[in-house]
Amino acid sequence: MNLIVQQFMNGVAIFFIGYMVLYTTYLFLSVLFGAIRLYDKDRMMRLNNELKHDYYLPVSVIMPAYNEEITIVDSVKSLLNLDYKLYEIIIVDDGSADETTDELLRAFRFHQTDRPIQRKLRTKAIDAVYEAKINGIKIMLIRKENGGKGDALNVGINASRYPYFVTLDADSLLQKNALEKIIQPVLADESVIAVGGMVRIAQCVKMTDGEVLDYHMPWQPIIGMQVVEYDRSFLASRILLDQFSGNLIISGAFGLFRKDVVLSTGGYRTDTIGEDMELVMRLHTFMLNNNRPYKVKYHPEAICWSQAPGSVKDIMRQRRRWYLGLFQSLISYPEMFTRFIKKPVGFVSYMYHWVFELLAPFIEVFGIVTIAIAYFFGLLNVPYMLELFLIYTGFGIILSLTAFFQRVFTQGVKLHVLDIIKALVMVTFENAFYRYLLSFVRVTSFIGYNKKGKSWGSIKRVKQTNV
Amino acid sequence: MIVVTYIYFFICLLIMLFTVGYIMYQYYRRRTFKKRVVLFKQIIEKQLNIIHEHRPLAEKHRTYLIDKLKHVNHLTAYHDALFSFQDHEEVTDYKRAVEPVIKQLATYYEKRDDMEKAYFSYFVASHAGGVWQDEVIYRTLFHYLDEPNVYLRENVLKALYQQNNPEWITKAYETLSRQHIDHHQKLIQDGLMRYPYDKQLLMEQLFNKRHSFSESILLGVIGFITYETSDYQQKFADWLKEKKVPLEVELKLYRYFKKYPTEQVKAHLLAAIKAPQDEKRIVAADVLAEYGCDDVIQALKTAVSDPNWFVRRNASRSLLKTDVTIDDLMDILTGHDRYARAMLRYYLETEGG
Repeated sequence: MNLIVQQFMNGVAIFFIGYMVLYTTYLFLSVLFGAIRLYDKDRMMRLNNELKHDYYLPVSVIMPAYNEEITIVDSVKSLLNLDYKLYEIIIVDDGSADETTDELLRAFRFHQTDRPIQRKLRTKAIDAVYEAKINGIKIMLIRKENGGKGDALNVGINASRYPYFVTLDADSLLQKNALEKIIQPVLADESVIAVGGMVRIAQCVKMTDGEVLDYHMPWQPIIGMQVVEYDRSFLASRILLDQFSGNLIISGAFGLFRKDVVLSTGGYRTDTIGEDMELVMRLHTFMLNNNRPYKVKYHPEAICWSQAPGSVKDIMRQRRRWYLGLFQSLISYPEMFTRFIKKPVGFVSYMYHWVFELLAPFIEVFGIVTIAIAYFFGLLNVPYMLELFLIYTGFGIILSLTAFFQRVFTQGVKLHVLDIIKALVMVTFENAFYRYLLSFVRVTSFIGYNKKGKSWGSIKRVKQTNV
Repeated sequence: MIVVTYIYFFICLLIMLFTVGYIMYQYYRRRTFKKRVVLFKQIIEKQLNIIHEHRPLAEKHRTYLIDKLKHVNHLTAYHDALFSFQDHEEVTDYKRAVEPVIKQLATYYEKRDDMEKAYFSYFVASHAGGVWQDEVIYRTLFHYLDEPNVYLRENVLKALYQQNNPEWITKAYETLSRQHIDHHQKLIQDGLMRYPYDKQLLMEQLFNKRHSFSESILLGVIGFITYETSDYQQKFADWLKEKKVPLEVELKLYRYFKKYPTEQVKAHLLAAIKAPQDEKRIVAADVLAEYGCDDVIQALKTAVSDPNWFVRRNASRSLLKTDVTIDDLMDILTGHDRYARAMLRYYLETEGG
């Protein structure tokens, strides 16, 4: 019996060694490419290698909202002060149960119209359309039957007038130059069909008229750990995948898309939880299937500040949604593996998301079970296991800290010593505990899973100060 | 496994230390940059005083500049310093006096990477206006356009717009077209609009060379001409009659005739509103707003019931801008096509008739 177990353990050890080597290599390359790209970008900015213009392309900003009465007015106000000459704002209230529409009608001088909207994408019925013009910017408010975020975005696309649209969460605040930045990859290369912006945690920042007045690391652990987690994800991993146009996710919180291509693919799906990732995966497969040249870019200089969940309950709910969204998106496009495995987006991005995002929590659980079995049969090498745990955690800490400092230098954030101390504490907690909590959430995500689930999954909002 | 992780760990540690070091270096660099700007300001001011006293610029100054400005970090500081004197009355004479320096620098920077070349082009674009006209500078910049990245070509083009020989601009466009490099039409159009010299001459040169330009450049050129002048009605009308006009170019030409309507193209537009291609019908329905006679009104009335939503929308809006009669409008508002009715009613409410 012991021999069988030992053989099994040897097999498991080889599997885990391979798995860990691949994963650490990916993380290592992420940080390396992140560093190179950010250094390059810094030099480009210094040497005016930038497409700086007075007039860029016109853009429609689509903001779907559901029960956002607390933040919606501030979010819209922040959109009225952008450094951008030609854009329209379309707010789609997806049948909120609260006073989202009423708050907007009170805050801005809207008038109801019968504006015809072409139903290029099928959506739930529109109840009312309101229009206003503030500071020369056209704003449209559409109140519709509840149909989920994807449905609300589709209504926004139908109503939009311009060839490019930006999606924005209703709790998000755009930095003053965010639209200018996010359109630049399109001016640089017309084959760009989508651009992802960088999402950062709004609770760390005080803003006025789209400009950051003050930045500090929060003491609240659940927020602080998300700050360092976002840094690692948005400043390292996405930059690596961007080297070959391989990002599969453009956050719904802030992304730009070419409308005709999105329309050709049928718009957002309404029967999925992760509509943002699903759309990007569909864009990839659509362009690859049709042999059309395209690029999906990531532009970390385009910054959006979004509210992060402030409680463990909210974060568990959010991550469960994200995980199920990831699952739905990955299983929907098996051709990424069967047909496009030779393309970097198939071989690296798709495989990475399967192995290190979707299956990772299960592999971790399998690892823990194996440790228990090994302990039971007296095969556990405790010092080796501890060493492995410590070096792995230490590696994660170093990666997170590197991403944190990379952000500091690229975005000219002024930090105090206390912020660095807080960052150190947060990355330690994040790597030692938080990631295991998230693994637990992911493993249990499928409990009560409803594949037709399309709820908004809202989190508790707080009013942003000094907007 | 552990060995690999240890190796990665230490390399990442080095990257982190590099990042922290780089942050500190940024502070140092900013301080050094400010010092350099101050120093260059003092040096330039001294030379401006010499020029003010009608004395020639010190040869030593030119030698000093060549020596220093070969380094891009000095060039950025010099740019800022020179910029601060832009309203100084002697600055034009000063720039003229340092033109030989720029000529030499153009050759030096030709051997640098794209980023530095792009910065040098940006520097020339910022300061050349009306002063640095030596062909050597622009001939050298023109050589930068060998498989350039977008920033380099944009900055080189910006520099070329600052000299008064349109031939360099057309040559640059031809070079980009030959290399199948698409430069965004918006960048082309905005760049041309900044040309400070004889725009008529520039337009003429561009129009004559149009067959050697790629589509994105053509679209930018048409956009520029549309913004500038109505003088191209005849030439553009003739262009429309040519056999192989790309669709996007044809649509851009239609838009020119919205801004500058002429009877010469009315028949063409009336044919376009019935064309099988949606794009042609959409644009024609919009442009015909400016051609409000009976046959146009009838064509727009028909187009209000077009299967394409955008044709219906544009036709409704255009119809209301013509001298359409109440009877014609009532035909639609009481007609059987409810989509046409809804569309027209909305634009009647919002834009009036």
